[in-house]
Amino acid sequence: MAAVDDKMAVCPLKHEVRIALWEKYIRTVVGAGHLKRYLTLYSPPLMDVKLFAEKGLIVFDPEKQLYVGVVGATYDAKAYAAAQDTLGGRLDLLLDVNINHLLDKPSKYPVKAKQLYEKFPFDAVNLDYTNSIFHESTKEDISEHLGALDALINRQNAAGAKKFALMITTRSDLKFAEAFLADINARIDANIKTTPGFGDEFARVFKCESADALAAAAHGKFLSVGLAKFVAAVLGDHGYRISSCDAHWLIRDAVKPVRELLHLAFLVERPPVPRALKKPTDAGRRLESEIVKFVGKHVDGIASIKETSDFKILYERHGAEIARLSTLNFEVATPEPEPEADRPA
Amino acid sequence: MVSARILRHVSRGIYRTPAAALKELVSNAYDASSSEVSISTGYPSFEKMAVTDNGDGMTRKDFSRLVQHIGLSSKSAGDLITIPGATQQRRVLGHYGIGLLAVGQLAGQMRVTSKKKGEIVGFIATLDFDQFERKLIEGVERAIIRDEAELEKEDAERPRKAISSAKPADGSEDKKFPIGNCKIKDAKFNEKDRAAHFTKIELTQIRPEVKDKLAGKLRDRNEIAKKKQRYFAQFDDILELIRDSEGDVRQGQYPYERLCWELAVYCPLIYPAVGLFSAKKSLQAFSDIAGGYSFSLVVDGMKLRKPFDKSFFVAGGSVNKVWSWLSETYSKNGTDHKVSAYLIHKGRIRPKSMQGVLIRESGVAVGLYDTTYMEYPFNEGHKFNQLSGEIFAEGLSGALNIDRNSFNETDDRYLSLSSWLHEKLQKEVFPAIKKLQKLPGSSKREANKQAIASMIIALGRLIKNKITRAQFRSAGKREPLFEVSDRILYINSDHPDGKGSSAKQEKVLLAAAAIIAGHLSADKVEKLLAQIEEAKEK
Repeated sequence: MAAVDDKMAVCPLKHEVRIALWEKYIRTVVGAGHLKRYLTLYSPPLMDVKLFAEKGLIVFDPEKQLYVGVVGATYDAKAYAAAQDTLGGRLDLLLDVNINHLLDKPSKYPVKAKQLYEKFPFDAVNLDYTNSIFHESTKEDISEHLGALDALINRQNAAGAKKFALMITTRSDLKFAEAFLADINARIDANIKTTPGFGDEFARVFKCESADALAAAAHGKFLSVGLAKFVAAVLGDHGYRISSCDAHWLIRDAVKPVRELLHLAFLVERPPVPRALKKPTDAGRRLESEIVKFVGKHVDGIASIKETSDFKILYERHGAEIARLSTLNFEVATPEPEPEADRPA
Repeated sequence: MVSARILRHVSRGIYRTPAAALKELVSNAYDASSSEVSISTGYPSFEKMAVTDNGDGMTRKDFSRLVQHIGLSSKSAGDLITIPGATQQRRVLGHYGIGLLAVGQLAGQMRVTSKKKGEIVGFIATLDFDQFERKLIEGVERAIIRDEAELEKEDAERPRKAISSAKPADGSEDKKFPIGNCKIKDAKFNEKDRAAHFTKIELTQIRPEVKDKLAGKLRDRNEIAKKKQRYFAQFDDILELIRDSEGDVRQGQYPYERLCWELAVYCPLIYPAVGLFSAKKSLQAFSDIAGGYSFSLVVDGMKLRKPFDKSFFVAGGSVNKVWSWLSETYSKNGTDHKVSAYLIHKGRIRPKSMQGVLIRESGVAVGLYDTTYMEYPFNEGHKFNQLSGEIFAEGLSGALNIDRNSFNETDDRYLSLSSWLHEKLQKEVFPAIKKLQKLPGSSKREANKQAIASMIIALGRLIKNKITRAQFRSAGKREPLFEVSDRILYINSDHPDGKGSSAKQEKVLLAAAAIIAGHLSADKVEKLLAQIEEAKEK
């Protein structure tokens, strides 16, 4: 596991995202109930699973020592072992495979694909990639992350998912593939021209009138809107719409270079299709309405958590919980000896 | 002191499987009065392993003594120990310290952290097993076994290299123990942890051979098998795999799952509340015995229990008969020892690995299921494969070999127990099975008879014959096969062709059809059958 993942796992800033964004969106799906199926691409010590289990959003069966309905995946053998080690029991399904490859070419992994497909549909999908979802080094027309996203939504659709939370994380400070940037640029510009509501809100919020101008002035915001639009389009292709959308920025600015992590959360629903709604343009407008609202949130509605200014406050708020959850595992509990330096001479 | 050379050899090849070596560490935890043990295997990379227990723990002095005197334990084999909250007393298995040899087989380095209840100072010990060395092979650092001649030369120099008993300033001490080096130092714990007691054994530098074996390298070379690899969330899933894909498991395609299964067989775990082990069923008493040891084992988050599930009792036919013997005695040189045992008889025992008898000393299994039934001296053919059982014996610890996984088969105690078992098998079990196989409805022949009778009735209706019933009855060996009386066709079940044999089913049906259709009389059929037999002999 990369050092950055280690840090993120027990970082109070990330914990704030788990609670303020992810938990909020999951609760909109399950209400007072719990997740029946949860797909997570995790970093050990699987803080999201343990946190949601503590909050009753995931059922932990103490008799079977099982996190019911939780599916995880990794292709790094060490991370797999660490994930297994850092849980209080077993996940319902833990795959040692690159899930992007599995979704893209299931025939290469017939047994694992079958095991995964049996778990669909998910009430919440957490694609916590933490890196670029379409890095400039990607040579293909579409990155494997986004390709897998499409395959995943397709599976959700085939399994009859009606409502689910979708969380996507990506670094926004990294360089993205030019083709992808051009694609989302075109989407935004087309939207400005064809959807007056979107264009007006765009101009009001970002004080500019084109995607190019926004990309030059605020690349992060350009990516945020562009990615939301891209995800909306993927969802729309499978008959879903975004009912609600939000984001959190996690900015690691204590050490140079500054790293920006964009956490997007979507509430996805399959809309009822009224008889009157027959024109594709109407469906498109409905699909865009939440994106317009999301653009509006960029004024002051998107939380931006900074390491330099918020770490101390959030550590005080979440530190004890993080310490407890991160050390919780299935092993017989043993106390840690005091560090040698602290001992009296 | 045993020579280092001998211990080195022993440590290299003492255990057949990694599970057996890990079981050794679990057995140590069991002897140390643990009620909970967890094993982290590091699956699927197996870079490091850890065995943690909530047993009595050790002092630095205890451990120091242990590493220098392998096999010398502060507890004697057979001693009774009482666990708070447990209803069943344990008997110490003994040979504490052999676990160190087990570790030598698995890993190049071991770290032990332990603390006793009521103390705030425990210890941390790091042991390097010096029969291994790290070498770069094709760019990868690997642990390989060192040259024996080189090690022996070191042994010869050992007295000169003996480390001074004076401790360094930090209070740590270095000790050369028979198969490696050991560094021990105090570990101070927080006052709030005074009541804690535990031992944690962490293994690193896992031997490449062990990693390869557990990671299923055999499977990885086989593309089809590799594709079949899947995740098992619960122990029940592993039981299903072992039962349904036993061939693949035996071929080494699921070594990790096999490891979990073997540990579940070995350890004194509880039985699941299924089949005959559930409440008010015939083997509940054994469930109570195992539950009484108050011992649990978790492997990589998976809670293990005895390897039984519902399917064990129904797959391959239902249970025909169960024998159980509770708190009986077997004698050795006038001393009585307690033994409890059960045997289950089924048409087919699945998985096959559970055919035979498993011997438990103080709840811990010694080896796996024994299909020789402790060298039973008579050949009972396939009946051996139709039995599965466990023997909970006492007083056998002295008969255990050094691996605690097999018996010295010439030991008096072992021989006394085997006599006890053989008597049960010879006088109770096998005669009862023979009777079972003769009972009506117990064999396939009975089913064949029912099928023949049904078909004859159907045939009678089809050709509108007056015969509306067919019935098997015992009329004597020399009497004809068929007799017609009013509307009933009697079939002589004592006749060589009337016993319901599958091979003769068609012949009987054809002859019956000839009688029903009015082509032949019963007497004529009998003559024809006799002529057929005569022709066959010629």
